[in-house]
Amino acid sequence: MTINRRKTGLALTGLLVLLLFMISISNGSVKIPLRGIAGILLQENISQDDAMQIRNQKIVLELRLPRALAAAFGGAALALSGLLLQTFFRNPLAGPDVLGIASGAGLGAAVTILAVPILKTGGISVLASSVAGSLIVTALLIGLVKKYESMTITLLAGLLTGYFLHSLTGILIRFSSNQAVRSYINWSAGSFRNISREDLGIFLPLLASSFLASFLLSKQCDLYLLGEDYALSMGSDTRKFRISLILLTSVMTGAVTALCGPVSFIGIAAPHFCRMALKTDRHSILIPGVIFTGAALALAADTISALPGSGIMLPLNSVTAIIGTPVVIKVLLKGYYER
Amino acid sequence: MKDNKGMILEISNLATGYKTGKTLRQVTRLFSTSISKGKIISLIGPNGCGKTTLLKTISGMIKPLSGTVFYSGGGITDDISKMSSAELASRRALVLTKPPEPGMMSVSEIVSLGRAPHTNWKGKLSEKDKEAIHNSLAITGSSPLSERIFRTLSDGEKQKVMLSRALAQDTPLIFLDEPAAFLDLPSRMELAGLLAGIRDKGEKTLLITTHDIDFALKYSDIMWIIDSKGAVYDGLPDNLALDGTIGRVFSRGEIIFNIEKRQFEHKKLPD
Repeated sequence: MTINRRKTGLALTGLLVLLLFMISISNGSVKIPLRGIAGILLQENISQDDAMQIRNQKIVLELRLPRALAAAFGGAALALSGLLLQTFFRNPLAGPDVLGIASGAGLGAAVTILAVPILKTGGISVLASSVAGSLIVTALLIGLVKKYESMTITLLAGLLTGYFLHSLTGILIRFSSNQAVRSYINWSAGSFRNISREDLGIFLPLLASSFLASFLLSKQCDLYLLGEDYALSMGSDTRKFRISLILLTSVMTGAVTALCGPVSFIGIAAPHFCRMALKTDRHSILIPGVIFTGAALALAADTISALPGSGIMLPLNSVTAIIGTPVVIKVLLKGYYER
Repeated sequence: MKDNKGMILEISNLATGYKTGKTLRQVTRLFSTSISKGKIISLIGPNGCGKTTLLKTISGMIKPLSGTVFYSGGGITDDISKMSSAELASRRALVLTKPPEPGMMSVSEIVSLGRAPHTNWKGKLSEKDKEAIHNSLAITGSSPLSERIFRTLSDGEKQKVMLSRALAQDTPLIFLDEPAAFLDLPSRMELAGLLAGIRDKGEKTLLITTHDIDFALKYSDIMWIIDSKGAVYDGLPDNLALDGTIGRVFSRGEIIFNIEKRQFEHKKLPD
């Protein structure tokens, strides 16, 4: 596939994100037509007499725009973490949830949520402890790979670490107050809708700068696809690369897990959707591509989970898993590589 | 830095091995030599004697236990322990035993990665880079494969592409770690011919670890033999055959080295 066709593919994915973003904003208990949303977002003058328009403006700017932004950035961050991990471990099954990194983030977040019942779910303290949790797990895994040079051992270790940390969280719940447990359960179903506007002010810039930093690593990522020895022989500073990768995936996974709960499968599935669509492994295309794909998946999953028109809310995690599992199975069968 | 005309690689009192915590495991013993441009050096020895460790140490991938390795070029000689990974990449390229498995990358994309030391942070290719890629594909006869997906090639084709990538890196030194270990006989002979052709142009020096003593005797200008105790013998292939070093290091039990025929044989042919 030529470079130009890849760029067209990338632009189409970007348009898809924009479309899903608008659909997400127009959906909810109050139907707002797409044209009206465009007007509100573009800051067109709204007559102060029209009560319905003022109400719509309030709904869009205070409720729906934040949640759509949280979904788009959160999904993109999980997807990009997944891509970076798949590249580093050279394993198509790697991802923040599979490797237990999300569980590390989860335990970190749970400790803060459960230990401080006065605190509302969310906020800097949850974010910090969540990032710390994922940092520890990621560093541990990369250490294991360095020592045993076996991706299978690392993948299994990640999976088991995930179970282990999950059990610790379970025990922690037994010793917590009812109020704390309620807010924990609320958090653990996963949702892009609980994030507060103050938290969003930290969340978005943090993720945007992680996206940019990852893009700057795209050449290093390409070299890494040939393996660490080859990357080193072609001038990659593999030590620096490893550390950057630990930091970036931990910050992204940690931030999303803290503020949106554990959201599964986007991290592992989005990179594969993206490779299937763009037919490339070059990271200068894949990184922006996977950011768009992750955003699109999260927006779609969020919209589906609200079951448009029914008033019922499905757990976000079930929706992402239903989209994600067939992809993982397809990867296991290696279907799209053969073509 | 020091002046060292004509030489491309100099090794001074080098000992290799691993340091894990406080335990020290020496692999090869003290060894010094210097090598000029346009040579093939073959590095042979029994299994587990430390061929790969020595190659990786000389290429700067792992640190030596003691001693120094110098790369020279353009009248300048540098101690490789003081060079960054990026600086090393413009002086030596590497071909490993196992071809990588890089997903959906095409052959020309793989070869273009060899230009990494010469391109910007994004890896954007200049006209000069494109020319280097084109030429190095042509040298190994891989041009017709350039749009193929790398993972669909045969092992022989893959190693030729990895050699093209090393050539595109445009370095005076190329280190190859048993590049033909997984190849069938025709592919092995083809690769040997390519390597000899690259040497004959006189610009590049190639260091090759191999199990193939026939290849080493036939194609190399210099031979390094590591024995099972880690001692390194350095000499012309003919001399090392005639003085009995090859026979001493490799013969075991009924299998002996026949100096006249330059090959191994059974002491007594079975009836």
